Amino acid sequence: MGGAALTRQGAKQQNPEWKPTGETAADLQGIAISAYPAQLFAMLVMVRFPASAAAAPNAWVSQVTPRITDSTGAREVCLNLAFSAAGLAGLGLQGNVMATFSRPFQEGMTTDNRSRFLKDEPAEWKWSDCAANANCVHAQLMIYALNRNALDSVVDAEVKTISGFGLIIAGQILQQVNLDPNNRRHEHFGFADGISQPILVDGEIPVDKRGLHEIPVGEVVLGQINTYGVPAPGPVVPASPIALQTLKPAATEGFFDLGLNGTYIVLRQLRQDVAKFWNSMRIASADLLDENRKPATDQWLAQKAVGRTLSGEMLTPTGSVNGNDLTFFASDPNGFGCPLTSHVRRANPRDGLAPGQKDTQDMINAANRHRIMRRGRIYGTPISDRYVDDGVDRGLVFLCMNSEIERQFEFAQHTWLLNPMFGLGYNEGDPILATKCPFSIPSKPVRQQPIIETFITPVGGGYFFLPSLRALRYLGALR
Amino acid sequence: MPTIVDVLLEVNPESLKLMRERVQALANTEDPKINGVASFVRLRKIPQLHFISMQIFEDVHFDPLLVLESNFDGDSNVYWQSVLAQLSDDLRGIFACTKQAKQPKWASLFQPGNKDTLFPFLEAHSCPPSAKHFGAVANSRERIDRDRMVFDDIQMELGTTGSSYRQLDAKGVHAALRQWALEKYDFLHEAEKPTTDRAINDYKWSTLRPLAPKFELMMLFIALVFAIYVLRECGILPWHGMPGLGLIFYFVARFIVTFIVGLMIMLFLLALTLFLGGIAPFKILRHLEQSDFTQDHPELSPEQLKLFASQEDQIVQNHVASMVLVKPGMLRGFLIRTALRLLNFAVPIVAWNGYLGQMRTIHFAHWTLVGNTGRLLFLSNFDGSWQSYLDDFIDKAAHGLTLAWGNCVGFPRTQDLIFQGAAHGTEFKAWARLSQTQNILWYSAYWDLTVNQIVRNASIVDGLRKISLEQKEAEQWAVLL
Repeated sequence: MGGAALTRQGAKQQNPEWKPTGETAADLQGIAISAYPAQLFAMLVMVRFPASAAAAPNAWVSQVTPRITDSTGAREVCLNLAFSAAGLAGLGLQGNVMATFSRPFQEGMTTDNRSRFLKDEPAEWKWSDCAANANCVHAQLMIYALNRNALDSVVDAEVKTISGFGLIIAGQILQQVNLDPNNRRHEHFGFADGISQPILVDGEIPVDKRGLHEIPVGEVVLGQINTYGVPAPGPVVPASPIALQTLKPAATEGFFDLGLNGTYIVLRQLRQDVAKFWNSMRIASADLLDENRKPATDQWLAQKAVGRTLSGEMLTPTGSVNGNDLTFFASDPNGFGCPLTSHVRRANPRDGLAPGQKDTQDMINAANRHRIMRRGRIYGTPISDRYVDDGVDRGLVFLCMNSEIERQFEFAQHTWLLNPMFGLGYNEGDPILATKCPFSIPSKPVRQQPIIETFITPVGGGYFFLPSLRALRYLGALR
Repeated sequence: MPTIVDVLLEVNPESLKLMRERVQALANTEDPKINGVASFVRLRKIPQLHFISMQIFEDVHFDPLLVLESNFDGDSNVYWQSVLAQLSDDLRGIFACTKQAKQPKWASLFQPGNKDTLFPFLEAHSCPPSAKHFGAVANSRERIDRDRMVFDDIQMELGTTGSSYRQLDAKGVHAALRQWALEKYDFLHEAEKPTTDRAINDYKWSTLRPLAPKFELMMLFIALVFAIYVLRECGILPWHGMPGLGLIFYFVARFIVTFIVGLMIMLFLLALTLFLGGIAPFKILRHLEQSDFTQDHPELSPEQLKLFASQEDQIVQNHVASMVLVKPGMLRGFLIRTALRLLNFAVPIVAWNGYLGQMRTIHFAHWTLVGNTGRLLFLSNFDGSWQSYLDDFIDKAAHGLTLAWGNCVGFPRTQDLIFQGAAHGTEFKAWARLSQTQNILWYSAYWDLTVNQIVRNASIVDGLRKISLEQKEAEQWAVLL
């Protein structure tokens, strides 16, 4: 089944994954190329720079930079550091420099227009990147460790350091990994997660030589070759003694490259109400029929909504298949297996929206211009009985990286995931991310269309810049 | 086939502020943006209208230009009468701020209290597009509204589970729904005029059909050549004496051979001339493409971008209005006119089903050369966000766009007219944003329908009209429900 569904691209020889070497490896923060699979415990430490004279954010950055994990090799404890636009302004970057950052990053995730675009309601959020809000987060220190004890001791030490520099801990989110016997990570509803990821390859490899999930490294790492065949544009700073000491010259005369080997991080804290989700699936599936014309179960409906089985296999009209090489046009053009508007088809349509066989390759190439590198992890303990609410706050810390927020994260969110007219949808939404909407399940002889309610609520989020090690040294020395 | 017309009027610079206020006042009355207040009350009463927009282009080189864009069904005469029945007073006030209104020919129309029709004024300043594209060409406004109602009713009828229809097979579903629909809708008892196929065919051949009389001319020419040949062979014409009368077959064979050989020699000579004559312009073009100055990082005003963002993504469709300068020089002028003519000619033949490359997201789009080829206007009504629209352009229709825009000032560097250009994604997007002006008034007659949904609704109704479907056909039809 899987083999028959492979397109010529899926069958093509894959290119080697891009690995930074030499100076680049020592410059690039590790999270850009690694999900830290061995580090099962993580803490997101949110830092606020108060306006008081006692606060010394630059000194803190200088102090913590030597401990930040680069890409040169394995570490037991990994630390990565990112800043919001408000945070960078707090470190002393001037308006002319801020104007060279990606526009969504400059403006933040919670401006009115952007909230409408992303269908967010940030007034209720616990934290954001918005400088005007009291809950603004200036820096995100991401800490990863092999075990809980190691994590706790590093977090304790870092929190003390942060406080010592007059900075405020705005929040901490303990994240964990819920592994199944096959070592696959599961999110709280119970689905295997993080299966479909883009693979970074050398930017010089032409598009017709790239595999199904291969994208140029510049789609994630600034300053490297991106999908348009040019270095992914990033921020620059005017020449200065500090810049000369710490940064590489930019392509433009008189400027130094602050963006090189950095990336933009999109963070969203998504609360999941697991019991409400499964109970609503139970109600919504009540009168539906499965493929064998037997009464559908809540699990059947939830799997249809996601497009995969709980264990992560892709649904197809002839059963579920393992792996990630499937393309939709050949295997499931009408969505009888994996519904046209299911979460996985919305998150990456591959060639599923191609009008004809001859268009499939172009559609894959086009879809690959909007990929994101995901590094999300769950927070809160897994539920013991999925139908019974235990009052625990749990969900997903969605974290992704991309070099052009508008073209990648925001495009995927708006044009694919939350697009009411995606596929053959008519005023629908993503059956996992949207709040409440009809969900068309292609069935024989006619579609079934339950109203789905998924109980995923964003409770915080923002755009952050993950600087290179060089850029961190620059920022630390800025004042 | 729908019609696209722009009314282009130069704004009296002194009256610019007043005109803005008047267009804005019209927009505010039509679309107060207050929850619960019915919007576009008057525009909704124009039965032929698909999309209408008004914007004022300002340019340091020219006086401001008012562009009233209309996309509608049928004859412009009928359309303008419908528009004037609703908006006559508003338009009179707006047009009074133009330079044209001050001309002796029209001045009396804009005297206070004048109630004469504005129709001649509108006709006189209407401008057809230089090149255009339709997404759902077979669907009149009336059909779109009607088919959407059918779709909504079917969704209700099927409910969440497929209702009793799920006991049937696809053919049975079709038969049962057809029965249900026949009882519900009178229009199903009358034939569709025109049918979808007919409307698409009309459009598909719309640029080729006018050439047909020329085929007759060609036949006349062949007949003439044949007559001369026969006369010559018969010795009636004085020159050349061939063997006496032979078999008709002999004449015909000789004629065909002579004709074909002659034609080939002529074509060869023509091609040679074109080739030799083309080398020089091609070399000049190559030189121009390599040496023209471009604008790699145009400065975009954050305030302007915020305004665009506040206006966009309110409904499933969006609107773009852009104006750019055409590069100077005879060759560029010739090329842009030829390119747009070529596009206008070819688009119905290759994109009759609404697909440009792999995308069918454009309802109406057109280019119009403005002011003696000095500027190029682009107006588009499309599905999805600006970002996704531009990405579609870059990914799926870069050649066509480069052909149309490659002769314009600031456009990213092109190669051989159709290569590179729009494929420089980041630069192209910045250039496109810079060329854009915000509409002041924009109205879509069906603000929650994509092109795909319009075509889907129409296909469902077309299916309902068929007495029965083959098994396979029925299955494909049922997928649309």
